[in-house]
Amino acid sequence: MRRSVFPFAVFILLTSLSAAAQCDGTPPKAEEYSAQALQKTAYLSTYIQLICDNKTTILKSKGAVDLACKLFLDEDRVVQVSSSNREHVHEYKVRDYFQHLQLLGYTKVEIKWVEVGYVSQLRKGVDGNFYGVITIKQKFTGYKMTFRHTRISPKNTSRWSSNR
Amino acid sequence: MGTWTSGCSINGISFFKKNISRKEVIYSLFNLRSTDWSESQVEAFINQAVDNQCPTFLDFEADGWYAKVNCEVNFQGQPRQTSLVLKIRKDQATGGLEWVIVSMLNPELFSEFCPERFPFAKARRTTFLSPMSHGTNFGALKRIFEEKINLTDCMEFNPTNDLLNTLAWEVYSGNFQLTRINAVEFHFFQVPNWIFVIKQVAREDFNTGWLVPELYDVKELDVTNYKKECLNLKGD
Repeated sequence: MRRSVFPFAVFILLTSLSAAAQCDGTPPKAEEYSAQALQKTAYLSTYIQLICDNKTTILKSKGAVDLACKLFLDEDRVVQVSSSNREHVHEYKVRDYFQHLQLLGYTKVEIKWVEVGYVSQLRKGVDGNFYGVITIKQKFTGYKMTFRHTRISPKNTSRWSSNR
Repeated sequence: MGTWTSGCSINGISFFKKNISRKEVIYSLFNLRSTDWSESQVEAFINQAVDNQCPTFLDFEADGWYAKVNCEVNFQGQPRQTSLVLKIRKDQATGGLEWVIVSMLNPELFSEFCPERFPFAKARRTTFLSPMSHGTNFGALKRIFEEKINLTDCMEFNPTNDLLNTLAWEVYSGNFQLTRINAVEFHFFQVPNWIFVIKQVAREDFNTGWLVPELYDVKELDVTNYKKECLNLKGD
């Protein structure tokens, strides 16, 4: 029996969160929002690892999905996912995205920072709120172990071999 | 190309800081693999931009720049491609900013324009595209198209624009759905005598990100014609 682990899918998760802040005419400090956003991103990273890991119990995984959703303004927010395997960017509502990750059942997940994050200049919208964009880039690598049952001789002997 | 000055020292290792001029920064913004500009054009453009007497700067809040959003749509059950053209509009009373749709390419999608006027002006606006929507590749457009009746809140009010009027009716009647945003590019007319386009270039290289692949000298180009052909804008 031979086992091998291989990267199943590699894609960059680009999460751009639009942040709005109510203010009395003066632009709020970008540093404060930047610090808050980075803290939220650290939580998000932990929850994604829990959601993706197939050793996590269903109950814990569901809890992680709920907590991850609460990091966003509401569940209508969208996660854009690009992949090295396709040209188009896929869009998912946050809960759909996390539930999709749950179903992937990776054996091992690695999340590495590509861009820690920055907050753009805040600009006043027509509703009086100030708007900025927080950009965070992560490289997500999921590992999956799969096996193929291959018959190699006519004598009813068999062996497990790795399957890409 | 820049001068090196002493920077800081971390754990006994000295790091040097490179002073980069504005000229070098602007040059780094050009897509070096594009053939739609020449070295002499770029040199002239940069010299004008960094001129000591009268340097040129871009103004986010001013007119003279447009976003062209290429999208996949579903029109009368058929998948089609089109582009929406948006610009920044400033509310003079409050100073607030928003993106508004000013035009659409491929008007031949509609076999005829709807003669009836869509009720553009509403007593109370409910939605708008935030001034930073470009930062999320105008993903909010999809939500606004789904709201149907509120789409006109995000359009430039112009009672004579038959194209936007027809678009508003088609979206309202459920014949026109925005399914995917493919690409975004920006067309700038703010630098006197020049037109340039900014597009996102994704590749494993230092010359990557939002770059200038196209630069045109207006002496060799009719601006009105360019706006009509590339952005479907008339007399703007």
